[in-house]
Amino acid sequence: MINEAVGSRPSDSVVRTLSAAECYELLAVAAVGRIGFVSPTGIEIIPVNYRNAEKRVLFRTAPGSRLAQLADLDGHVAFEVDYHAGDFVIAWSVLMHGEVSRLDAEGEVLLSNLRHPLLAWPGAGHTLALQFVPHDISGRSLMRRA
Amino acid sequence: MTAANPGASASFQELSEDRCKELLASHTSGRVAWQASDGPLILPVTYGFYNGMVAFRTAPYGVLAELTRPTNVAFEIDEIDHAAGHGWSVLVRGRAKAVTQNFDLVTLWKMDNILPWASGTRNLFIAIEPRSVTGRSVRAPFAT
Repeated sequence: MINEAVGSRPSDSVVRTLSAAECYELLAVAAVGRIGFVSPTGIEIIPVNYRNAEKRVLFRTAPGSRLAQLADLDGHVAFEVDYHAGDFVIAWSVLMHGEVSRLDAEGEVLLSNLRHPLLAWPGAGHTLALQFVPHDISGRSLMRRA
Repeated sequence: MTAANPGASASFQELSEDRCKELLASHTSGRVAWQASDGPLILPVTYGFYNGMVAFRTAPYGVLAELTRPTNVAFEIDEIDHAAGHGWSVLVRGRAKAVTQNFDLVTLWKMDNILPWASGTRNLFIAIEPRSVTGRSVRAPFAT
């Protein structure tokens, strides 16, 4: 669905829809994602540092933050990760839909077993670890021939 | 590491609207989000900051083409430097719609920094007229 370039492709670039397995592989190599949701004051997009483990996304926030409030409601959100080389020779993006919630027992285990520490967005006080569990995942990649 | 030092106080700073607009004008890659029929969508776009508006190109048959109908959207850019321990983000909220004025289109076609994110015939320009532009910078306690 997000492969919006289908229909007309110049020969110098290739847009490809990624499989779910490829999307999860890409999630493992990136570190920053953006959470999008609808709040009473409008649409929000909040950047977070994350780690993924076992098809979950873990991130930190400050207690009482908008993301923490969302977790208490099991809020429905979109979670997006993208990457592009400076010249757009390679680019990809992954989009997921799902719920943000507090860590359950399984989430706590995943957090403590992370190989690399889960950093907060800079600034301390981000003591609360949350999880995002996707219902769906989709992605696309773009490769442009030099 | 910030995660290992949760007690220290964070340094959040609201960015002025002027600073946010400088950042919008000096970057070219961001994400647009809106409430689609089946939930919130976020898609990356390359954009130009033109006449106080965020403008980007898309194909007439793509998902982003939904935004030719006036739609409430958010648009975000950010940057983070883990080594230096700081980052910032800017959020634009406003209404997206198709650009139809000829003089706007002539200028937008000439903006060569709007390399489209994907390929294809992307002859549709969408502009977001901001209702609010906010941003903040964050600095870890260890950063100087």
